[in-house]
Amino acid sequence: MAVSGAQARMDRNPGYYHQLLQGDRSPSLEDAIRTDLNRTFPDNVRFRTTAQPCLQRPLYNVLLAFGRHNQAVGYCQGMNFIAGYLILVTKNEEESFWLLDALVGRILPDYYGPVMLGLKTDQEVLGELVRRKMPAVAALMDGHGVLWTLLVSRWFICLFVDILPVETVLRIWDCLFNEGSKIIFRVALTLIKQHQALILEATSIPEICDKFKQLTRGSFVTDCHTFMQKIFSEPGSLPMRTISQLRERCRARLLAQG
Amino acid sequence: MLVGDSGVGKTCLLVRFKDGAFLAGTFISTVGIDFRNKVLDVDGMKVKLQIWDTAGQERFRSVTHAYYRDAHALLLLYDVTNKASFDNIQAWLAEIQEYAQHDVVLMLLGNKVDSAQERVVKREDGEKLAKEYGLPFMETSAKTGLNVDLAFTAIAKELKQRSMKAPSEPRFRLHDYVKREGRGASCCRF
Repeated sequence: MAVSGAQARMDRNPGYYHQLLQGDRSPSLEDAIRTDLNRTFPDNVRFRTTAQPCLQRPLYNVLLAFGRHNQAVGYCQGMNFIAGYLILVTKNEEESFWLLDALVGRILPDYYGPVMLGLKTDQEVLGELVRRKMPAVAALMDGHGVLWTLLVSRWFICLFVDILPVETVLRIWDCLFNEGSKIIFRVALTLIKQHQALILEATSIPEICDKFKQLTRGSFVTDCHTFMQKIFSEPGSLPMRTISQLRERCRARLLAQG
Repeated sequence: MLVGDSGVGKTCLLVRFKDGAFLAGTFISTVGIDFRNKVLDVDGMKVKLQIWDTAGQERFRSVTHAYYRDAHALLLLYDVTNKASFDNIQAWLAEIQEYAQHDVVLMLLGNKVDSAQERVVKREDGEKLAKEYGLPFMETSAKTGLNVDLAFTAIAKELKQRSMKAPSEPRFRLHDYVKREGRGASCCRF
């Protein structure tokens, strides 16, 4: 709450969250959120409709308030999983709302807006980083014409929720709140680099997809302490200046492609 | 490739086809694009289907567009209990026309026909729309399995024929096949 600036904003805006919930009806936003309520952590007992209290209501409230607060973004699938984790951890709707605002509004660069330009840009940036640091993997992708979106869109959109084990995800989020979006590249590059040999065994697009599913499982990702140390050593130097330059270049390229 | 509005049952249809199971309340919203494959036996020949499952929310279309042009076949779904998902079919068709190959195999499916009580889109409405656009059409249920295998088999037969171009065999007609083999919702109550 503190490092992300969420606490400060919550303190400066008392009652704002509840005003949002009492705001004018927004049918299309409400429908879009409702469609996903039953499809968010159905395996978690506290999100089941039979749970007392059932966390679907807080989830709905947080997403609705956010959609009204940040109308340019509204609701984007993937935010349901992020808000769900925030609610489980904070056990507080209002805090979850302000943390979601910190992530979507400030920490992540336009992943969830209507054209998802920030998301597409960062996937391209990851591709460029792989090209520099692991040229053999990049060559495999190019050879099969695989787009990075196919393999990693859920990594970026869900911030590794349901991709990596819970403890590992929460440790990553701590760094994300503290250090910003660069951490996502560190995690992605570490996962790829650690399993480079495995990935390079693939000889077709389906195999590449399978390998990428495999590299998010196993003891390497469950031992979260070692994993967190690895993400700061394995990918090597990753200055923010490089990320910013790559983002600028990739964004320009995407815009030129239309 | 499976396309259609969010929540119409694309993932459930695919899982029913792939694993023969219905994901009752244990499935999550598809984010971005996902991939599964299945090998089918079509008239004594193995056909490997690579099936791409997509997120239905409108903003994800800008991410999934890139995959349309490589798709050999598209299954376009709506939910018979959700009028908006049916009304959006025309927008999906415009999207497909813009980004997919012009000769892509396309089939329209009205899913969730097991929910007879909540149905708001009549079978005739689906048929009429399909006829208007010249599409093969079926009603399906991922829950009961109605017409699910048939839809994928029909696509596989069509794709096999296109890749073989064997002049000796009688031409496979997707429209006729679907019309002949497709079952109405009423015949499959147990």
